[in-house]
Amino acid sequence: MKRITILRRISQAVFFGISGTWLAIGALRCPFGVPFVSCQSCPSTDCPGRYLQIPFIGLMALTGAVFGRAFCGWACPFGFISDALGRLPKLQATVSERFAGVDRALKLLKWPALALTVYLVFAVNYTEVRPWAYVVRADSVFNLEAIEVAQALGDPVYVTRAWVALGALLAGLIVSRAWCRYLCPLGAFLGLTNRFSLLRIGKRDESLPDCGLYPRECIQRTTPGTTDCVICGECVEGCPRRNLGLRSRYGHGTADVEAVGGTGPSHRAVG
Amino acid sequence: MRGEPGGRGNAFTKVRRHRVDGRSRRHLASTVGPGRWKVRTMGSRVLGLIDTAIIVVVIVAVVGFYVAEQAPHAETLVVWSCGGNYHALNHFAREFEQRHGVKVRYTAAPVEYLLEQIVAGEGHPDLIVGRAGPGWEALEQVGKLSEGPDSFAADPYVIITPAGNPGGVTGVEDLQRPSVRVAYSPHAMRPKGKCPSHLMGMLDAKVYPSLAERWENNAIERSHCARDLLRLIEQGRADAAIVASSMTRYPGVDAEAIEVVPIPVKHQDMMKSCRGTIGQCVGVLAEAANPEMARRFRDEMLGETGRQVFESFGYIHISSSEIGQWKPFLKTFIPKQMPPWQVLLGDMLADAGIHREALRRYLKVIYTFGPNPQEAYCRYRAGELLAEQGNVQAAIGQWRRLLRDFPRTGPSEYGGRIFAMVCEAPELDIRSDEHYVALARSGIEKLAGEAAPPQSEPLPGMHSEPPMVIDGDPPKNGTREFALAEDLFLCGEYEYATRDYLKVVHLCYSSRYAPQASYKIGLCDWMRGHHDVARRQWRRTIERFPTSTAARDAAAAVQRAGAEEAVIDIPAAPVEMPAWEPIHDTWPERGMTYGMALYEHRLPLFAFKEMVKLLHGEYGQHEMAAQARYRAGVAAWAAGHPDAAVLEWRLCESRHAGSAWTRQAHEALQAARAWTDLPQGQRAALERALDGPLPSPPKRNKPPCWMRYCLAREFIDVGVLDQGQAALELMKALTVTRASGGKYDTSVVPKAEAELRKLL
Repeated sequence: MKRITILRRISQAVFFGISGTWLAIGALRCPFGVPFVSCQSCPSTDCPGRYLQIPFIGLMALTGAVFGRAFCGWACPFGFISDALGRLPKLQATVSERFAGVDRALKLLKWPALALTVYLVFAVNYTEVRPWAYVVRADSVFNLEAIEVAQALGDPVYVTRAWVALGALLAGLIVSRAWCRYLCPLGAFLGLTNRFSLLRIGKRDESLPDCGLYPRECIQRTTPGTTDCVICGECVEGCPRRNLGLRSRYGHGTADVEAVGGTGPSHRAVG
Repeated sequence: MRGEPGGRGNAFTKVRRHRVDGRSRRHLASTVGPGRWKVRTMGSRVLGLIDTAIIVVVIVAVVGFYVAEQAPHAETLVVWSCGGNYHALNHFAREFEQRHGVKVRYTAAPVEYLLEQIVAGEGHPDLIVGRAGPGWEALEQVGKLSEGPDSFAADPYVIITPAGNPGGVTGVEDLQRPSVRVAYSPHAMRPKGKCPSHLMGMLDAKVYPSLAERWENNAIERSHCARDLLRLIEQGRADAAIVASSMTRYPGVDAEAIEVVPIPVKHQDMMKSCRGTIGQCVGVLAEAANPEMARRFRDEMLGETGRQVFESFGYIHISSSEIGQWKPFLKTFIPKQMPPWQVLLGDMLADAGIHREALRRYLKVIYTFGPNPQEAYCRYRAGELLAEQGNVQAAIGQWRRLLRDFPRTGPSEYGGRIFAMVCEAPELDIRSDEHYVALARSGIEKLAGEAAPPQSEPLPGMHSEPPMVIDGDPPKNGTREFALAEDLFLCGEYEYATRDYLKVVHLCYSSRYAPQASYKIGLCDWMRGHHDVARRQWRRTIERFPTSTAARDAAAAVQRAGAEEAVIDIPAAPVEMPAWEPIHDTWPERGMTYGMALYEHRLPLFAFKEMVKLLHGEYGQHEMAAQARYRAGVAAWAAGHPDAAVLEWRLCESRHAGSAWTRQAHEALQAARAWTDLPQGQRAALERALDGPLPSPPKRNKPPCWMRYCLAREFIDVGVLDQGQAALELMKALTVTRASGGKYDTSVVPKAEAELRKLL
């Protein structure tokens, strides 16, 4: 077990504890068409979104500016579930590796998903008339009756989103982090920060050739520096030559930040 | 080389190569040089086990929490309530749990839907709590209510202001002062969206004319959520807002930052359809799994424990000393449903061949009484009527709007199973929205070839779309009237559009749509051929609203219109209509101003009708009866009914002796007797009217159904039967007055039906 995996799991568990209720209510009882967006104007009072949204936006902005899409790998509560689900079946590894071309094509879906979400936010969440569906409040997030009432209200918002959430969970059983890799609009948006964040995962010694192990080590089955990279750090610790680490994007290779890896390239390994 | 590190090939190819050579990978790992942390790869099996453990822990935690919610309690009480009660009732439920060792599973949602689910047998709570709306009646009808409903509190409306009350707001009348910044939430759910607007609309109609329009004009925020109002007041960004009393005690509200100004009971008592939002009821359901505990919960809500909790959350509890004045609200209330009756009226008018009034009626259902479940039908029928009249372009326009707006998604809060069960409404053969969408689509396809190509705008504003109306718009306000007028304009019904634009300007005085309406009145005049009147109206628009876009449009219209004169002949009359300066202080003065404006815009028939409405008390009590009678005579003459004019002047002379208008009526009668410029038939009718018997006087203070009947009688008695106005009033006596204020007197039915048979 890699030390970084343990650290990441601890971080994910902490954030899951903080925001799990928000995730559950967002998926099942958020009255807005696109959840997690309009929390500041939401009439629900039993959802912690109103208090959590601004700190989470701040966290995403900060981590995005410094680390890129690290939020997805370290703090997203759904990412935590997806990571865990992805380990369960053997099927997912087989699928990922056999259908590499399909995987690359599916990863492009996140851009239309992001565009669709942006459209829906303006079309559904910010309308001239009341944008939210009928609000269902409950004494507890585990009150299944409240979820049943929400579904029975007949508003397509609740039913559609429940199916999307269920689909995302089931897809995660077949393909590791399927939602995060292919469809998550927030992930796609945060992926853009990988292009300009202060730090990125990169080679210490640029002259060394790629060993090609990244996708195997990576939870997103990608390579460092792409918009799919969630800075999970698995590749840093998994690099047999110890040639990867967090590096400054704007320095001249001098600001080599040692987050979790070794002290530098192993000359023996390189050799 | 493909597959080699650094070589060409995709990443997965590379992975496979390394997997095949597992030994070399382990070798690489073990040969990593000295570092702070060594790579310790324990293999995917271990990681898999750990992640499996995480999932197991999460599942166990979730299931455990759920079981903990359910299992350890010997008894579970399921409570449903309307959303507004959430904070108080959740608090009460938690205390109840502690006192009795039971679990209270509590869900709050719009109570009408919860009641619908219970009525449909889809939900099985032990207890339901909610506002005193029509759902309770429905529960009783289907035998789902074991006991109750019992009123446990009142939640009246109050005005909230920032601490120190910087706007100096002491009552609702202050909300119309120009300097007061108000906030309201017309888009919110009914109790917090429609009802404050309804309250202001009722006060406008009965006590403070223009209150609702000015209140709307003062709005600095039209929020989607009523909770935003609290924030705006706390931050001092608004001077006043109307909210339910319980909202002032919501968790998170800074009690130090707001002040509460009560709204007198007599004002809230003027509400009609929203009365039910004030009373709060609780009922034990017949199918309660735990009826004993449900009764205990209810009893404690009604008792001292409940008093302490609910008063701390801003309610007036049933055991409070203040509750006495709120007694009229502590019973369930079934609102009257106007739209189905309006649809029935529209159908009757269409069947009688009074198409223009039928068209207006269908559009009124949409704009004056919307949103409602009958809209798709009315929109389709409006298109159908226009198509029958050969107005293909307008028909297609109606159907395109139908396709744009329907079918609506989700449930609607303005009509549903509950309303259909308990509210008195006519049987209408109205099908689903989808049905009318399909009909409209096929209608468009059929007429597409006949439609004229779109024309450029000869004058500004010829194709402007009506504004959207929402449930939170006050009843019969400027927005609703303007939207109706705009649609009538698009249908080419310029006379009817003029009427409704003039309502915006005069009856909805101070409306924010007044400048546009003023300009569009000129446009209607122009389209009707009264170019001189149009130009005068546009100049007036520029004078009255110089900074508005309407003034700019009016200036452009004056320039483009040129100097072409009127092409419509105006019939000569023995007397002139006396001048009238517009006054908007009281409703009768507004009615008179509106009627005179109709006359000025050469709609004498409708001017006559307004005068008769004034006489029959439609605008309330006033001292202008003699004047209205005299003016009705002048308008009737201009409408081509000199005999009706003579009758009106004779009635003025006989019933208002001593009035200054009696002398004028006498002079008018003499002038009429000497008037020779009339066709033979009209002259004979005039002679008969001058010397024949007078119609019997109408009764005052009649219920609405009789008022409409008497209006129709007057039209019939004086022989003004143009454009089906008499038939319209008789049909109103049979339909819409059943849902209007006041008690419906069924004795009007045979009389109205008999008159209607004669007319049709």
